Order: sequence, then structure tokens, then C-alpha cells
Amino acid sequence: MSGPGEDPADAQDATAVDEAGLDPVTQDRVAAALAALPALALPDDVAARLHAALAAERDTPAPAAEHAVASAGATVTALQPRRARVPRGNAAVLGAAASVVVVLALGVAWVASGHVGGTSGSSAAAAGAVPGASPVNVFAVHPTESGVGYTPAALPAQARTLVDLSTVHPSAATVSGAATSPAGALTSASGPSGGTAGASSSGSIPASRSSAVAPTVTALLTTPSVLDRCLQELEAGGPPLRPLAVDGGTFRSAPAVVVVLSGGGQQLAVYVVTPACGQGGDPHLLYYANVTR
Amino acid sequence: MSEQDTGTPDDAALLAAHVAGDPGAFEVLVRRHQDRLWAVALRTVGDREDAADALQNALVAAYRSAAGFRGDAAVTTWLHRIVVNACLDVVRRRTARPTDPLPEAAREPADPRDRFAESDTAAAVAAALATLPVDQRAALVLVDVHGYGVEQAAAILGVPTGTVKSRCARGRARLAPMLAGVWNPAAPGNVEAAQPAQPPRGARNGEDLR
Repeated sequence: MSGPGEDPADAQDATAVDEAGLDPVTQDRVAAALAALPALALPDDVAARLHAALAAERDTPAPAAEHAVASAGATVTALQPRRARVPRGNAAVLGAAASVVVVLALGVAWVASGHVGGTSGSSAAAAGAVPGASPVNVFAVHPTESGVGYTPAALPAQARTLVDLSTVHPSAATVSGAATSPAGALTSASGPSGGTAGASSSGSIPASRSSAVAPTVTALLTTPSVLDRCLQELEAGGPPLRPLAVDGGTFRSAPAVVVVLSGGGQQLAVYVVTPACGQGGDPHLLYYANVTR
Repeated sequence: MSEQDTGTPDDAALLAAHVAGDPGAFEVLVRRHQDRLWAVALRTVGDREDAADALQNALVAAYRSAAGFRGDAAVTTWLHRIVVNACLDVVRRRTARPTDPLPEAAREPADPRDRFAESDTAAAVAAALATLPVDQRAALVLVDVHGYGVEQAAAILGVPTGTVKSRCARGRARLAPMLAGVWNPAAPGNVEAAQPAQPPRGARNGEDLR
């Protein structure tokens, strides 16, 4: 029997449990076994790391990257009760000349609702009012079309550069009014022969994009609903993703889109998908890499 | 600043002091609760490094967002909520999308120190717990392992109390046959037989997916 606000699936499963006949004695016995688990103390190395991070936070008055990006022009949308996630369809396509670049404003109150670590607005926040907190954080992603040829070997450096550029130049596309992209820096990150040369996060952003971008890639990046569907498939039923960067180019000479997510800590989760990402309920993944910043 | 009976500031006072600019208040608050928060994180995530990342990210986020705390829930509930959500995000990202496969949590204690800290039985229980779906695991960690009431667990998890109850019931039902081998080594269905969930898309780091 499903109570008010209760997940029907949960209630259904609970019924199934009852029908399975797990008796109260066994339930209590399992609960007692769990309660008997010993207390765990925070290990010294983790404590040192944690308090160093908090000390750094205390000593750094500058806002976090997410705040900086947000203040650079993202749309700020307060957390809505019962549904934290703001549809990614709230993107603005910035004119025909800049049609290759979309500013995708994602307004999600994620920290105050208890969401950190690279995702936002999960089912927990969506489930109801947030006790003791109010929205304080938002983020934005600015899909680009560099036309760069991504390769497995160069992908780590390329992903780092892509994220750096997204942070350093969060509104580059809107400033120039022309199609801009991190193509030059990304090419540099790939090395002269597409190898694994180190990337320079301060590399300049060229004023024009590569002409090597397939129309299907452009369609994915410039159509908010399509990109939204792609990201939803990458979510795979998990909490909404917080992409750090999205870029169109090629992968092994085939049209592709690179989506970089925070993987927690210093990790980047880099997904390479085809322009069909999201179609047929499939992210159409080509390649995945876990990259250290 | 309000104080506890011991003469030390209570949690709400510490958080208010932090918001007001007291540079040491948040650290005092964290030190007060860090062991329990860590235990919740580690039991929920099942991997030491991921748990450490989740805890750190969560508490840094709490540090930044403290001004948004309205005080209509206990500070500890708020902290737990942030930490648990960070843990759930880590686990869901790890299991729902192609990342590294789940650690050997089903067979080994999450924290190597547990080998020494926990008895064989406790280690087996912890290992069995680690095999559960994360939603059930998180509910059981809060309710059964740490003794939170269903209502507080619901507030932490952001779900109705009925959902917490059903998740706990389902989790216990899954654990019961696994623990049968612990309670009675001759019985079938012990922990060794339990298999961890597989990432649905089964990708490994640096792996081609076509």
C-alpha cells in the first residue's frame, strides 16, 4: 500500500517483501546484526586532507569555480519544491552567427539541497522540501564546436584543456558574437601529431571554428532538447549530471561530441558519444576515460 | 552564542558563528561530527577513496552554503543530508554509468582497517551490506547501523518515511539469506555467494565501447 508521497515502486516492493514472508524476527535479527557493526573513526590521513581542504576554503576568499561561472552570466533559477532539476531546455541559442555555440544555462540549486560532488538535483532533492537550507549555487555549461579530432591518446589533455577553457572563458561565445571555440588550444593539447603533448590552459581561443564539424554534431549541440536527451541518457537513471564542458568534433575521424563531467575530487569523467546520442534511449557511447585533472 | 550543558557552543551556534565570520567555528563543528559522518559515508559508498572524496566535497560545500541554512532542521541532519547525497551521487555515477567497476566491496571490508577493527562476523555483515542497492544501503546505514529514527532518516534522504521503511524492509530481506551463512556457517547463501551489481554498460576506463 502506497502512502502519501511514497514511491509506488518502493511500496510495491515492500508488499513483495511482506508476501515473501520475511518474518519480524528475521527482520530484527538483521537489524541487530547491522547495529552491531563497530563504529568507524575518521582515519588520520582522510582527516588531514579534509581539514586542509576546509582551511584552504577559509583562506581563499575568491568564489568557487561554479560560483564564478554562475556569475559570468548564467541564468539563476531557484530550486523548485518537488523538482530540483531545471530542464536543460532552458538554453539560449545565441544568434545565427554564433549558432555553433550554445549557452546552456542550467540553474540548479544543488549544494544547499545536499548535492555536491559533481551532480545536481538528484531524486533526493526532488523529493521534497529541503530542511534547513536554501539554494545557493548554480552552474552553466557552454557547448562548443571545435571540430577538433579527439583521439584516445590525446583525450586526457584535451579534456583538461576543454574544462580549463570552459572555466576561463565561460562566455567567450557570447562576447565575440562570432563562432568561437577552443579549437586552437585543443589542437595544441593534442600535440603536433595528435599525441599526448601537455595542454596549456591559458591557450588563446581562436576566433573561428573548424569547418570539420558535421551538421549532425551541430544539431546535437545547438538543439537544447536534443542535448538534454543525450545528457539524460548519460545519466542512465541516475541523478542529473553536471557537465563541465561539451564540445563537438571528431573521434577517429567520425563526428563526435565530448562530454566532460566532474568525476569527484580531481577526476574528470570523459564521454565520447556519436551525434545520435540520446536517440533510441541510448547514449551512443564511443569511448570513456577517467582523467585526473 | 548558545551553549550546550558542557559549556561548549552547540551546533547551531557554531554554524551561526561560521556564517558571521568566525574562522574556526566550522572546523569545530566538523570535528564534532566527522567520525559519524565518515562512518555513514564509508558504509554507504563502500570504497574508502570515494567515501573520502564524497565527505570532503560535501563538507566543503556545506562550508560554502552555510549561510543558506535556515535552521528548520538540526544541523546534524543538514550535514548528514549533504554527505549522504554526495555519497549517493558517487555510487550512482559509479554504477549507473560506465566507470570503473564496483570495488570488491562484496568480499572485502571497505576500509582495510576494518580487517582489524571488525570481527569476522562484523566484516561479513559489512560486506553483505555493501552488496545492496545503494538506496537500500543508505537507508539501512542510517536506520539500523547508526540508529537514526525513520523520520530523521527520511529527512536526510529526502524521501517519505514510508519509502525509508520499505527500503529498510527490502534491504533486510536481501541481507537475511546472506547472513544465514554468518549465523550458521553450514547454511547456504553466505556472503561469498553474493555477487556485486555490475555496471549496466560495463565499460572500463579507457575502453572503446563500440
